[in-house]
Amino acid sequence: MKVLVALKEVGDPAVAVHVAAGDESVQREGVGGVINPFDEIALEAAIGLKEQGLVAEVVAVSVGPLVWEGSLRTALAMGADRAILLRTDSVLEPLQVAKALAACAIREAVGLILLGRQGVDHDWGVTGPMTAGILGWPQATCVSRFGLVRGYGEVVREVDGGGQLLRLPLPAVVSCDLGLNTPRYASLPNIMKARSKPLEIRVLPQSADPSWEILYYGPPVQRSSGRRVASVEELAEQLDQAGVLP
Amino acid sequence: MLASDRLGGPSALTARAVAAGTLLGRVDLLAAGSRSGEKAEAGRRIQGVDAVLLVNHSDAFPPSTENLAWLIQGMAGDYRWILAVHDAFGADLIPRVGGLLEISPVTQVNAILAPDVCTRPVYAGQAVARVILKKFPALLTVRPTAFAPAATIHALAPVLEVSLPAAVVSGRHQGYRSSPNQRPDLSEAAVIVAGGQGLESAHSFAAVEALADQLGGAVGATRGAVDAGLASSDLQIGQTGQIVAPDLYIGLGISGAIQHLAGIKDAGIIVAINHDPNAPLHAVADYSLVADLFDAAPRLGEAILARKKGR
Repeated sequence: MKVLVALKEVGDPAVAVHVAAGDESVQREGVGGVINPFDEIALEAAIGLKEQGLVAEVVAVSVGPLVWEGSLRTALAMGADRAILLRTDSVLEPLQVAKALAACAIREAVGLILLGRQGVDHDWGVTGPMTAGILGWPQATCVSRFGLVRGYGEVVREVDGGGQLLRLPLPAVVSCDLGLNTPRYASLPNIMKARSKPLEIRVLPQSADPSWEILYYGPPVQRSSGRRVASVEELAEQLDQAGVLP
Repeated sequence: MLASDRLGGPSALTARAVAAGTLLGRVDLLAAGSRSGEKAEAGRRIQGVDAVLLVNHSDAFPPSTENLAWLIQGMAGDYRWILAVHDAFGADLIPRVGGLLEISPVTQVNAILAPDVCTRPVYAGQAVARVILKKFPALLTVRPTAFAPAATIHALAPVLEVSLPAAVVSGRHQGYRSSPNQRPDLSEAAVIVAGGQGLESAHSFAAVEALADQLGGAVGATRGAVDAGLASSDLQIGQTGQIVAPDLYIGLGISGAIQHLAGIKDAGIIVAINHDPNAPLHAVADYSLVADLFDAAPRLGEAILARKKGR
């Protein structure tokens, strides 16, 4: 069985972003791109399945601009067998990304799509379940445990108040949460080896029929900064006066 | 409007999303998934619900995201907006409906400005995007913390049974694992005491739990504390954990990473207790105390209890 791992590149989430009111875009000066942390977890899960002998091939795919080639090389260095960049220079809405991933999954005849539960830039959190809906495949989102048992995906989903256990017939789409694993670092020899692994670039056709448009980005409502209190007693008194004590 | 779900039963968050829905138009509440009858009974008492649409599941149509998405896409032509709470139920289901209808959802909506304009936070709450809806039915998930719950009333909305399509290929539900946590839920708690990596030196969350119990509050954690094994992942607050809005939030030993701050911005009062005066949480806190949490937290608990007795 082949596994498709969908990756997107995001600005380093450790670096703050700045936005001026009415800006059309969010400014991220000097911020290097990294693989979206949740997608990295998905990739690690796929590589782990291959190491267990449960899958034959791990294919990494991105839907994005040419510069994302670098993240795909990193994915190859971590252990993906080959990579596909579905190249577009437009900023796509999730439906277009999901359609491209679904078409790629069919063409590659994969039995499983793994990806992160959300991109940490726009926080849509929809690409996995949208892709599953387009394909008519079963899905599990926010998965913190995953195994392949006798041709089924056995998963635990993170839900409010606990976990949900699901058995997924394959092919299926699984979006990965924290806690599933700790992604490995690419070793230097593997980074060298990744240079000769296949990375195919295909141009994604343009499409325009937006579900919505982002009018602009603005700064969030700021909380006014508060005051320092000198002691525990003063803090208790202030909280009492604020009327928030139970 | 999809009735929310908590571990296969009704969720109090439904009333919050109904409040968001009534800003747009008449609200029909779809009670679906396991224990849909209980969800219908709770939902018909929520102010603003015009009618409850009940899905009676059976072996021929078991409760699953795949079946419900298939059902909803068949009903979608009758509606201009399809909403759900952005929780593990709604955030799983609405995007799948989007895949079937070929419409990208707008998730984590935190304000509705007009019938076709809403806002949502991006970049861990460091910016807000204003979105204009172009395709209908629009698919929205709403942040429950951003909308006050609709009232419960005596009048009962009518319950209408929905006719069901044939089932589709689905994942099979094998059960829930409920969290061993006996404290109030993060999503509903009036008081939350949260801990960060400052607790790591103690190798335990006991100081956080003790103060939470003294205040009858919920326990929360930063991602760092979860990663360090101090707290379970369902207690994580932040961009990728839960978004909370208690009346009082007390952060113990929390530095205040952007991703954590994204989850507490809607809190009434934020208190920071950290020995590091440069911790970013101090800068957004209403009250900040530079002190050793292991000394200050128990004393704060006692001081608060003493004040309660004195009232």
